[in-house]
Amino acid sequence: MNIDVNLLMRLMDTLGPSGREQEVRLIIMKEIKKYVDTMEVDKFGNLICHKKGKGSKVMLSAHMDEVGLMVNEIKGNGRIRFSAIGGIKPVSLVGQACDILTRHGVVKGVITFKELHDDLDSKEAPVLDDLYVDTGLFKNDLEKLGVEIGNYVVPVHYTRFLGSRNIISGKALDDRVGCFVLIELAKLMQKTKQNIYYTFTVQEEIGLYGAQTSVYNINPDWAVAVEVTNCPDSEESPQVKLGWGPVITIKDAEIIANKCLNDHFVEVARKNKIPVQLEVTESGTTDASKIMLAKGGIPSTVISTAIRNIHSTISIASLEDIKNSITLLAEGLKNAPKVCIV
Amino acid sequence: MLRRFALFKQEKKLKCVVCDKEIDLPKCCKEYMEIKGNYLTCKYCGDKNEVPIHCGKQMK
Repeated sequence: MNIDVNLLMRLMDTLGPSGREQEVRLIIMKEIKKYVDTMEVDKFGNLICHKKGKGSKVMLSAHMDEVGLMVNEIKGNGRIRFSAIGGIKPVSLVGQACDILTRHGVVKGVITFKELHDDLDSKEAPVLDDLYVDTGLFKNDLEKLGVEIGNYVVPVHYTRFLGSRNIISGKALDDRVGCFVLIELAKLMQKTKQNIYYTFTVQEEIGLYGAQTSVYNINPDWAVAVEVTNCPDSEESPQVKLGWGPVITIKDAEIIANKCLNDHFVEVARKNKIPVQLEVTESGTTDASKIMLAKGGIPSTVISTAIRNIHSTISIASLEDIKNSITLLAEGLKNAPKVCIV
Repeated sequence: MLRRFALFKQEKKLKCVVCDKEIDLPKCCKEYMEIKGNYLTCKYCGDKNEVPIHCGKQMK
């Protein structure tokens, strides 16, 4: 299978923290419009692309937003404190180059903390309150440049291949991989008869809000959140490994996924010899947990690509896993179940 | 993937391990102090105080 790796890299390098997904949305709209019948941006900012067809209404959801930071205090000495948008480990921010997005343009800075700046010993990993952005300027100069409370701060990092052309690393793999999978899937499903809603949601990282509003209008028969999941394969016996195929969620921190859908995708994987991994995790949740509880209840599951260093600028994924996620979904949709009651 | 751990705010209360009474963490340099072992520590100036005792035991 050929995939447009340049598109994936462009999606990853585009800035789109929760609440500021417009640039990502524009790229997706441009790429997917040839393969769907209608596109709509709802009042909340979600992009809903419909490929009309027969049979059950299927919602496939991937979120456009990424974790980020927001200015919440500018000290007189120019140190800029920030609040986290989503679940970021503070230690992953230390030493990052970053851009502050102001009304007048970008102000460049670096993320540091006192012990590093003053050459002091630090025995513990810094917490978020320890960190600040240093631009080299004082408060008065920053204010003239438009730096103010509420500005987004985004770590700057460009996507690149690591050990081989199969291993990609960069920021926002969560969930630009999901967005990319849906675009590539739309290409594959263009001439099929399925009734599919490709849904690109906003504000997932701060509370799954885009999924909560978009599912209401779509009212699907069943749904799949197309996601990434944490891959802690530095452990001795990891449940999920990089390069071992897409991950089907059985249970995450908040939901038990629909068993009928999971059985369907496991069977599809077996028949088509697609490697899959099953996951029971405590480490987070996805849009599926909001979709599942909408209306009278929507059977839902999660198909993820395993990534290392989730929610950081050094996330790592295998392109082979991404290709297998696309194939699994494509094959799964060809003979999609009509009803998924457990 | 949503990871909720960072959405919770920093703990700002001390609790008695016996009677569950809660008191506000003291502030220093305008910020809440942190519990490090038996001490409350200011992350800015390094000032240290012992964690208060309630019902005969150190609070948590």
